[in-house]
Parts: sequence; structure tokens; C-alpha cells
Amino acid sequence: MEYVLEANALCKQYKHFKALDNLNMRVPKGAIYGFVGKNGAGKTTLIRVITGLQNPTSGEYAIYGIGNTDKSIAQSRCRMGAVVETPAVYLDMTANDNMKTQYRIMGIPSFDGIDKLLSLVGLSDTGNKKAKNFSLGMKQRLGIAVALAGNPDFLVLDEPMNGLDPQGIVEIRELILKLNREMGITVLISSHILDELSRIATYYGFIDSGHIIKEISAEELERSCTKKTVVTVTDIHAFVRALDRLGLSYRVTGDETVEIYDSISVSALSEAAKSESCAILSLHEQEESLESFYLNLIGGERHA
Amino acid sequence: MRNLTSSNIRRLLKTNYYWIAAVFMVVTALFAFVMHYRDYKLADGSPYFDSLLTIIAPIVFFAIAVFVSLFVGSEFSDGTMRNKIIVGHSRVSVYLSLMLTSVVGGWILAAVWSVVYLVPSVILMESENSLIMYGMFYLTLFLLLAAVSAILTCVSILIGNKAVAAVVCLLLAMALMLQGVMVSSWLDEPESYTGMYMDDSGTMQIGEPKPNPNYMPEGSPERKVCEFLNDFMPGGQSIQIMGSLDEMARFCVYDLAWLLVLSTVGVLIFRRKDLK
Repeated sequence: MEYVLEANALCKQYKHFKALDNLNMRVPKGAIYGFVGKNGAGKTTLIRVITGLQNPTSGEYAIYGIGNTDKSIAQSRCRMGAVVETPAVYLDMTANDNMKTQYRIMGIPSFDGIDKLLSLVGLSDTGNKKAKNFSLGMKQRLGIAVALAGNPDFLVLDEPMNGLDPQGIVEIRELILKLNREMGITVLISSHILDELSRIATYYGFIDSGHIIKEISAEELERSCTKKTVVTVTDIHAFVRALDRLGLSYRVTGDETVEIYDSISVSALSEAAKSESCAILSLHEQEESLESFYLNLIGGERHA
Repeated sequence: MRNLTSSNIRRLLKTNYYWIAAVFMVVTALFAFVMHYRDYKLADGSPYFDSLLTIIAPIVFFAIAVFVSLFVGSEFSDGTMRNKIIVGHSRVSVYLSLMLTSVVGGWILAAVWSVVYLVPSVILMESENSLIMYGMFYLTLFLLLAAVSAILTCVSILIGNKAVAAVVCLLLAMALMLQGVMVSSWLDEPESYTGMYMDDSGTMQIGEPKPNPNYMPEGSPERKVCEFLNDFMPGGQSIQIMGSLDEMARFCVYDLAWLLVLSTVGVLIFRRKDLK
């Protein structure tokens, strides 16, 4: 597998606090890499380090195979765009002027691509409106457009959905999917909104206390997520006898509810319950979410 | 670095505060001319416009303090400095391009002030200096402004906060001027002073000269230190800028030293600075 970003034993220390602790990470080319971790876990620090805003205390990372100590890392960075924390745009300029400024910074002689980029992020009709008068979602989209100047292959987005309204979240989600699927851009995205992340990510990295505790593809995650059937019954003791008779693995979670972890035949279960003089009041299938997977992972790691 | 500098200068020319600084230059230059011309015509003042030309330095000092701190500060507050580093520009390029932009910005303001003051002055008043002196004066002035811009850029970048940088830069500009005025006044202390007193008949009499305790004798170590400070520090230079050719040449060397030292120190510190 080809990796856009590889980090090996990366450490970043601020005085006595270790923000990154021996972190290893691989971002596969073409992926939408969901970077998951609680506040202070080290997500933004890692993003600051790989974007060159901060130097690692020890360890190394490579972008497109070029190490951070290599002088030609600047060439790799040209293939990279990023929005770190807040969108980095000149507030006293229009969207168009912001794009022109970034084009000049990058030494791109023609402004031909600007209209297309602004149209891509839905800001083509902002006219002379200055960025300071934009909504947060518009600023976020302008930040992404600025990051897309120079046609990067790798886009790093730090909490791009923070503070957005539901419509803004949908717009950013669709934009990220479009960039990944239509333009083949690899995206590293950190987010607290796990439900939202689970809709777009094709690969996940879970970070806690400055190190990656698990990297997993979306398919693997789906396979490893436990499916269960939650059943509500009239007589829990009678129902447990029926489950034992059927040889199913289960857990009693309340006075009337049971979680069954094996695959079941509803009619067989219903008949077994009926033979124990118990009625099934409700039954539904539940899949472990990214959120519960993450919480189990963090909890498991902590208690390991 | 060329891309960064050209982008910075274009951005600077689009900011409101830079245009306000330019208007401030125009107003102060016109005011200086009108006051000087009025004095010359009505009160039999000096017919030479050169004497007031030297006030340009402190005026531009303050304008530089304002626009440099806001310009550099907005790179941090808007987060746009990140865009430059992320796409692969080195910190050395980012630092030096900001410094160069500040220097060019200061020069443009000085040029505006000069044009507004000199055009009517040359037409309506007289000059007492040769073209060589003017050439040397402007070389010294532009190097002095470059040194001041370098100091303020370095301070603004290292502070990294727009509001704090604006306050610190203004205070620093004031401190530089104050230092220049104070050291100049110490050096100008007379060797002795003569008191006046009234005798018994009520007429004013001149007393015996008394040695001035604040006077620093020629060649004394403290005088040498003060003379060096007065020549080396931008505040002192701004006061005595229209000196002899030798003095101005010395100022140029000191200003180049400021530029070299500040570029080196600033780059070294900025390379290690963690950006957010």
C-alpha cells in the first residue's frame, strides 16, 4: 500500500507535557483518513507538526516518502493543503482576493483556476463581500478553497465541522467526498463528530494520550463492530431459560431487556419464549457505532 | 521569497491602516511646510527649508510602528502565516519577506512625506545644502528607516499577537525617540553655567561661571558611551540625521549592522518558534 503520510516514533513535548508520545501513523493514498481522539489527545499537535508549523521533539515523518529532515520536503509540501483549527483567510479581503493572494504566495502565474475553485466550494457569488462578513461555514469553505490552491494531492482538515450548522456540516461533508472521489485527493480529517466522520471516512486512526492506539480501515471496522439484537420481554427469567435452551450468547441489561449477540431466527426465538409462557414485546437489531467502538477502545487501552 | 514579498506588498497596499498612515504623512508634511513658510514670511524666519526636513524621521517612525505591528500581527491573528509555511515556504523566507515588506512600506511613506514637503518648498523657499548632502541624507534616512522597520518587524513576529504587538511597537517607537532626546540633551550640557542675580540696587548681574556637574568632559568614558549610543541608536540618529557627510556615513554603517543583526537573530528565533 502506498502511503501519503508516514510518522515514526514522533514525539512533541511542550516543557513537561508530552503532546505526542512515540506516535506511529500511516495515511494510505486515496483514503479519507478519519483522525479520532478526545480533546488534548494530540490531534491538532500532530497536524501542526506534519504541516511544518511546529518541529517534532524527536522521531520523524515523511510526506510522499520525503522525510521531514530532507531539504526537498518543501516540494512535498507543495502537494499538500491544510486548514488547521480556524480557516486561515485574510478577513479584510474578498474571497477572490484571498485566492489571488494565495496564488501569488505559491507563485502560480495565472488566476484562471480561481473561479473554478470558488465554484467548487460554493463561493462563486460572494462578489465584494469581505471574508469578515462571511458565516463560519463560508469561511471554512474559503479556507478549504485556499488550501486547494495549487491542486494538492493531500488535504489536511482539522475539525472542519466545528461550530457549523447542520446545513454547513452537510456541505462540508459533500465537498470532502467530492474532492476525494472526483479529484482523487487524499484527506486527513480530524473531527469530534464521530457520526459525521463515520459517513465519509474510509480509514480511521484513533489517538489517545499522544499515540495512535489503533489504525483500521472502514471495512475492518465494520466487520469488527459487534451486531446485537435487543429484546424486550414480559418475563425476563422465563426468557433467559428459553435463551439457554437455544444455546445463544446473551446479556441481561434490564428488568425486561436482553441483548443477544448471536444471529437468531425470530420465529424460533418467539416459539421458545412462548413455550416458557413469555411474550416478546419488542425486538430490534443494533450495530455498534464508531462512537462505542472508540469508547471501548479508549476504555480498553486505559485499563490494559 | 520574491513571491512572498510581492504578495505581502500588494496586501499592504490594500489595507486601510496603511492608507491612513499615508494620509497622516501628507497632512504632517503639508502642516510642516505651511508652518515653516508662514514663519519665514511673517516672522522673518529661516528661508531654508532643510531645517524642517529632518523631522521626517520621527514622524515615519510612528507610522511604521502602527502599520508594521498591524500588518505582521494580522498574519498571526488571521492565521494566514500558516498558509505560507504549509505550502513549503521556509521560515527564513517568511521572516525576511515580512521584514522587506515593512522596509519598503516605510520607504514609501517617507517618499510621500518628502514629495509633499519638498515640492512647494523647492518652489517657494531656498536650500542651504548641496545635492550630495541631500543624496547622503536620503541614503541615511532610508537605511535608518530600514533599521527601525527591522526592529519593529522582529518584535511583532516574536510577540505573535496583533493587539500586544501594536501596543509594544508604539511604546518602543516612543522609547527610541525618548532615548535619542535624552542622550542628546546630556551631550549638549554646557561645561559651566552662569547664574543671574539681583544686586542691592535691584539691577540684574551675571554671576561667576560655575562648573556644571552634569557635564561630561570631552574624551571621558561616559561621554564616549553616550556619543556612541547617540550615533548607534535609531532615536539618536533621527535627531542628528542631517549631520556632516562623515557622520551620515557612520550612521549608514550602524544601520546596516542593525539590519544584519536583526535579520540573523530574528530568523534564528523564528525558526524555533512553534506556530499555532
